[in-house]
Amino acid sequence: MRYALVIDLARCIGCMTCSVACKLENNLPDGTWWNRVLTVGGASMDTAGGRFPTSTLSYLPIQCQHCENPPCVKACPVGATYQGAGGIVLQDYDRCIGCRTCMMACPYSARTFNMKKPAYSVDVKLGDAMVPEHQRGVVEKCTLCFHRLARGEQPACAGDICPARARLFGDLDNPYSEVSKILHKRPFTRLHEDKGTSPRIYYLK
Amino acid sequence: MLMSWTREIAKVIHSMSMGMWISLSLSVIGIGCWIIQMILGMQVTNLDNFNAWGVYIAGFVLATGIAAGCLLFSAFPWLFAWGENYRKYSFISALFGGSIAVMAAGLFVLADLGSPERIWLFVTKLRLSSPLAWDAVSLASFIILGICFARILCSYYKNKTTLNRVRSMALAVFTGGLLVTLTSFAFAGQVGRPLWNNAGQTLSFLFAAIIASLCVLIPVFSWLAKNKKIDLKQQILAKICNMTAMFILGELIFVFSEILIGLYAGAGEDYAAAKWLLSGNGAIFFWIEMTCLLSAFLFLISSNVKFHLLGGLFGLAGVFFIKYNMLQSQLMHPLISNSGPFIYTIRADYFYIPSFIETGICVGIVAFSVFVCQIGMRYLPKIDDMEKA
Amino acid sequence: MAHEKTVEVGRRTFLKYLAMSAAGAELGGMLFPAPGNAQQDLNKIPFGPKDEQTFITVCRGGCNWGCCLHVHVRDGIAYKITPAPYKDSRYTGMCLRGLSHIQRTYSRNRIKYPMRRIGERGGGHWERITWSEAIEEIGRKLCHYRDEYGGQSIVMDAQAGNLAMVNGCGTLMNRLGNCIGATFSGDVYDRGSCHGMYRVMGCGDYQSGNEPSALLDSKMIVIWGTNPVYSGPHVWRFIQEAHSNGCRTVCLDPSRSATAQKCDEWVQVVPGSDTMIVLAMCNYILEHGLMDTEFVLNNSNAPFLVRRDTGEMYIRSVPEGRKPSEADYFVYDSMSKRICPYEEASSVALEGSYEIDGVQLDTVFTLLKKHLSQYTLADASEISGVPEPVLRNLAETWSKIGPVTINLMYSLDHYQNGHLFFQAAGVLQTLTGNIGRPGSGFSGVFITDTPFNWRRAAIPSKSLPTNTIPSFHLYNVWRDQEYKGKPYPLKALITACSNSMGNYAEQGRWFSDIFPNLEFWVVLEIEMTDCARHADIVLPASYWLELYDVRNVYMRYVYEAERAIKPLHESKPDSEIIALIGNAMGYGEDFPLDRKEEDWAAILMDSEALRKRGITRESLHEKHMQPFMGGDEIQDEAIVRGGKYSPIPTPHGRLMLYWENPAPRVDFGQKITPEMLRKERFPYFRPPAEAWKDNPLHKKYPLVFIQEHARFRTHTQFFEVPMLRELDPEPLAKMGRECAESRGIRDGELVEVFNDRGHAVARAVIDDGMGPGIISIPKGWQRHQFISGSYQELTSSELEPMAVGGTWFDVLVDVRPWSGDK
Repeated sequence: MRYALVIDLARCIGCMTCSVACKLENNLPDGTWWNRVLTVGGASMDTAGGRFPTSTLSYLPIQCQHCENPPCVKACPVGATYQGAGGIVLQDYDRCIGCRTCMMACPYSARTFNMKKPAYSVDVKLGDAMVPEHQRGVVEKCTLCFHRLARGEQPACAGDICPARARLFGDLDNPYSEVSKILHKRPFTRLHEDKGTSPRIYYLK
Repeated sequence: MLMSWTREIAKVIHSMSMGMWISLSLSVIGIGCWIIQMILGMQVTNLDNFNAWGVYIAGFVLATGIAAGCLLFSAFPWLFAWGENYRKYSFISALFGGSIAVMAAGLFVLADLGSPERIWLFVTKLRLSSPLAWDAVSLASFIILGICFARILCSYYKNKTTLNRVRSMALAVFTGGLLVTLTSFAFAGQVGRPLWNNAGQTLSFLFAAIIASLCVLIPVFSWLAKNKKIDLKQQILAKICNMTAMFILGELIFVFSEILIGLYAGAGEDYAAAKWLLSGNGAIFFWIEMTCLLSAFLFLISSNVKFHLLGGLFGLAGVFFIKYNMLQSQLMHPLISNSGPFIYTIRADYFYIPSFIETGICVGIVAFSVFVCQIGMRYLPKIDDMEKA
Repeated sequence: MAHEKTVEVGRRTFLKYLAMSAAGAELGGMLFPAPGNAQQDLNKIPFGPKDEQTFITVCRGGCNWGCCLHVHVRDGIAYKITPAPYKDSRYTGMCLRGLSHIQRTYSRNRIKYPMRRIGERGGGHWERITWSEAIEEIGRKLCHYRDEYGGQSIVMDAQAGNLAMVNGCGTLMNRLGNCIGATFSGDVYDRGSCHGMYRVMGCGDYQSGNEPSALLDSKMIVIWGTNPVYSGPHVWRFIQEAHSNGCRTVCLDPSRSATAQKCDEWVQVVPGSDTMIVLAMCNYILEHGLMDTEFVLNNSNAPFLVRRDTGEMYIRSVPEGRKPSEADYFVYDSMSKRICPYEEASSVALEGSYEIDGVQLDTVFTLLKKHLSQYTLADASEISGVPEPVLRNLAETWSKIGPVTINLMYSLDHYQNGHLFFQAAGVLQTLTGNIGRPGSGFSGVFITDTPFNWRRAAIPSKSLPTNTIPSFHLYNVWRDQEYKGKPYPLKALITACSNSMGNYAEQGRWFSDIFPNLEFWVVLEIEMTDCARHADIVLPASYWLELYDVRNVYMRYVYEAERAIKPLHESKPDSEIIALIGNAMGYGEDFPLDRKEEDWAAILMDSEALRKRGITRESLHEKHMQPFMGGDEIQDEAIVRGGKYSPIPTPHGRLMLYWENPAPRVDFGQKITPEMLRKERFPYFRPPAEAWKDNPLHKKYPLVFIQEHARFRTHTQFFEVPMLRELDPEPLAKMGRECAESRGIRDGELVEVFNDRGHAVARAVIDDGMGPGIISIPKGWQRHQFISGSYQELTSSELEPMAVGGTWFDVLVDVRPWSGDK
């Protein structure tokens, strides 16, 4: 079982619905976004780069890349970050000492650190019941919705939630899965493959 | 036993000098700041998700360097014939490096942890794959080596052990000191950080360690000499100073090459970082670093003794800013640096200066180290006496 | 677009894997990092069934669509929201705004209890009052105005804040207004487009579009003056799908927008010049014989004869009580060489001028061809800035490629010439045979054929005469207390499902013209909008997840939206609040207090259109979502305006290339000359009223000011949702590099956008995609979110006299660095 997320960059419209879905599903504290959509273009979000009228603008959704060879797992001095079932890279909040070495190790800036006691802008607990409580002073990141996978669902950011239908989730070990099929069909790239991390987020060109 | 300890402490407090009072009160302020940080969390620092490592880590790297450098300095006179003149400084530098600098390094790490209450996991759950584990091992070995070496030197002076045994211990200490290169792996080992991810970093760490330790030892030795604890010939001090200056030159070459390589590229990550240092938001700290290193070099090669102390201080500051800028220049230029949602965009006007609390904690750690040092001095036997004995 | 719904792993397998990894960890020891604590995590996460309920609801802001959603409720708290599956899975989905309903519901900024203003209007000081106090005061005051000044002194302001039928759509506000004999604030948004398309297609407002899935049959989609990548992800999904199936996409926009970036071709257009392009292309198509002659002959009024003296159609007189049909229009039969009613002709001539009984007659086509001949590609190129070959190529492709859909929103009617663009676009689509066929026509615009019996709910037992005054003209009526030259006192305003102050143009006039005469303002709101902040009494309305309602959308579906959670705080449904006010004013008979939202829904569902499709309250309650139009739930054929399911509702059932009886959309006393009317029979080009380079004002204010629609808001809705504000925290002024640099503006600094009407201070963002001479403040902020002023101060409340639509982009401004207080 090798989980993978395939993101079709030709389709991605940078709408951040995946980011917001992730934020809600995992009840992320204020200011924390595990899933972010970056602008490939100008210096501010949603601005084009280059010079008018030949300027260009595209998007790059970023989250934990769930590397097969995760530098963060090696970097953690206490084993708080580890590879779980299906190759998902997970973080044990109860074991994290908050040294942030994993953040240094991550080539994708995917990890976030809870500087303060998690604060929420609404007074009720949102998100899935199975999501562990967020803690102060620990590093956290995308879990590929570990709790949803356990129920046989896809991550909150994948599937029909994406208005542009740019996000597919599945098992690479299953040759008939949608992700395996599309990766055979379409050229793809993975972020900073030269770093040897072998990420499991595939970006279709 | 308890009584005698209490009496001793009372005696120390009674006879504390002005300097000791100052360092003690600064330490108390530092502890206060740390308590605030513990209560409110790391939000009191100016660290964030991009700039996750700041002044604490710079301090940690500096302190580790001092510790390692001191060990190297204490060991080499026993290993190389040309260093015989420096043997009488071994005891102090071994003790200093093996205890006070390591303690400071430990405190810096503690201050940097998001969940310091879980520090015990460092012992129970330590994973050897992490460069931080190697740091822990090397720091632990610094303590052991430093103290053992100081002890064996005492024994040697008391004629209770042989020169050969000292020498073999010195070899161990020297090797241990070289472990400082391991510290660099917390940076050099990160594939995600191309500016750190090179072998040169290892060497730079070694040089920086030597510079930092000598820059600490120069004032320490001068002070001890003033207090008649050691007999310090000007000639020897000048030699130490020259040696330091040479290492500073080496480090400068490393810094210059990094900048030049970046500028030569004309575009890309390295260029962005170099430009950021030279004229961007990082310029203030980079030019402080340059000024410190160059002044230190000039002061240290000067024949005027008065300047040596100044040279030491500038050198120390220079090394601190080398580490500070090494952190900043990379952290502000992550591999993926596209603009994104407001809170995840490195904005053009963004740079890091430690917050009030961070500064307080750092000053506290330094002050506490100085305080421990000051107390230690009182109980330090006269080296020359030991030697004569 | 089909793809797997769930991953191929069940819980059991997953647990097994997890346990294995955990075991591996213990064996692996400390040297190799391993999931040492997977077992631990396993215990931490409960896998058992949870106490949760799922309710179905529907999104109902004015974004043009309405996604069916699942609200997940745990212990009475809505904690998650997900897309509800449609049988036609292409429609399943939602966007970030839909997801943010949860935070909006529980927002700390919700209005929690009724409040009465203390101190001056807009001063921000409030006192908490009880519901009974509030209703008593409202009832007393409104009765006073009604009795003292007449019912028309009370203005009912209900707009597109909620597009569900019971609590929104102005249903009950209309009922109350009809009881009172009140004045209605007639909306002026989107009307230019609707009116323009009506001139060709004869459909009512908001009815000219196609179902989104119709886009999949297109060979070319022309996205004109809209940025669906930001504002309409739901329609973009279909465009994208069509594109990946080989459909050509072309975007016409002054800026290289996010949508332009995704299209095969981007054509940079001078803002407001679009009509010229369409007309010139029409002319080119006629001149070069590229027209779909058969389509034009059989589906438009092109062959019909027009009297040269009156401009009216030459038509056979029909007996009393029968409406004229296609058969009654005179044409020229080229077989028998005579003029005869259409039904008698065997070979209808398209072109020609004839004379009968001394009356000069021309076919519509002949007139059109002559009219269009003045629009050359060269002129269009000069005016629009688009190179001639590009225009030629576009016209050629348009007529040859196959079905072409124009994807529009309402942006192009934001200029004073906007309705003419839509009329011209209708003509172009007709000439190329692109209406009523699969994959042709218009998409992106509203496509509402409401099957509900709105009238039954909105008309009370005793209805008094009312007036509907276009909202921008209301400014004048408020100021002068005079309408159509007669005294017309206006005193009170009731606002529900509307943030008119935040959305209407020229906000400064609220302060100068309305407030001095506004004595009493009641606002039903969920959060402190511009309206609420300036009201006298604010009543807490329940939010969508707290309401039961019904709605129709996507042309095909009717939905039932369940009440997922109880109304929060002291809030009440809009329908209940309006009923309470009605009762307090003595209209208890028409607003029985025991009538709940479900009962109002039953009244709305008492409709022929629904009965015909077998949709009853019971069936809808069971299925939540039922098609009321088109084929079965699993789609066979997309609904296209003018196609099988929705014929063209003109008298002759044909498209109108000639608009026989021009009349303004609404008569509010505007000056209309016969000359003006004659001109509107064919689409023609005239430059925008203000935002045009020949306007002398252009020297002083050289930038066209647009308010692009952001991803994060629908009009002014969602302006205060915390997580959306984290992504997009403050008003921005987006401009091109040249615009900024020539004014010494640096990226990220505060700037003041200004003209004679007002100003707005926002943060400058340099966007190299922005076209020259344009500045944009993305829409939807409230006054208090600006450091100073408001973007809505800059816009103009000038109404186009024919279409009577607001023209928010027909605005000139300039920008300079802001030196005022931060």
